[in-house]
Amino acid sequence: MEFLQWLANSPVGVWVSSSETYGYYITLSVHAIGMGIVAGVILMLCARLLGFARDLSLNIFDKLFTIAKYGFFFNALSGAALFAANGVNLMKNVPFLLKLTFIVLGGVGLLLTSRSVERERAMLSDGEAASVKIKVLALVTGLLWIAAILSGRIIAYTISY
Amino acid sequence: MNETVILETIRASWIGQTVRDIPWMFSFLEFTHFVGLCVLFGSLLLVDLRLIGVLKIGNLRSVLKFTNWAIVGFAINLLSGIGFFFSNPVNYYQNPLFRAKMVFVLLAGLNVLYFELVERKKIEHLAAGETPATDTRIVAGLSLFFWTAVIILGRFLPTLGTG
Repeated sequence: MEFLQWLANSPVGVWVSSSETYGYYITLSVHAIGMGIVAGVILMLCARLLGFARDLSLNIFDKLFTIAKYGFFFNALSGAALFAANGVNLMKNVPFLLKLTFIVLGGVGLLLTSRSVERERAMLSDGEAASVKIKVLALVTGLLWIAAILSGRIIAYTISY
Repeated sequence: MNETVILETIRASWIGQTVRDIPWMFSFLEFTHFVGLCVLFGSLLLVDLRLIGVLKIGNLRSVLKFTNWAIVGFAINLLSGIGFFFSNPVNYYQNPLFRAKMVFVLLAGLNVLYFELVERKKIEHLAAGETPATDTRIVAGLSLFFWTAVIILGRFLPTLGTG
């Protein structure tokens, strides 16, 4: 608790919560763009694995995910800044804790999906349909990231300052 | 009909009433607006970065199929956006940041129109991995720039009113 209070009083915490600097809105903007990059790219991979544009080489997603990693990095940073400003209340906020859980599960889902894809790579490049296992993993992963977005939205309606 | 009458008609419409009267409707629309953002931005990253040449793999015909997802994302956000606007039209109409956001949506739309009318036929014959000419790359870059501006302006709407 003392640590969370210290975070709130740190320069980052003060900058985000002060209304004069627009720090909160700048941080939210970065977080929204990062969300569009990370969740957007993951959703497109899911669509491809579920059978959309099956003739597109999966190799294109390797480079795209390198870019999505930067998006995730910026969202970890902007997320940490938002947390610094109001950690005391966020730690007690169930939607926030759910959001973090969904991000971890969504990450695990993505990892399992990409591992299965690696194993079936040669077949998939030929425009063949992915296995049922990959399709289920892709669908669950996509839904987990949408759940992360949903719980993130609910934070805005349940958090106290 | 002057502005006030038009805005009041929009406010009194069944769409405006529905969004105001059902307690969870506005927040539900916000959720769909965010998912739509991801679908639109994610598909455009794939398409535009391929056109710009950052991604050099994949034949353009397959990549361009993802513009269908951009249309899906845009449709979700147009519908949810209409819901927001109709619930409180005066507030949005008077917000300079909302007007700026709509200008950028319009610019992005004109950019797409130019792409469809002029650029698409130049690139459809390109081989897998081949990067388009500079004019196409500029159009693709503008697309990402305009939509990024739209996201930022959207997040700043509450600083000058409702959003």
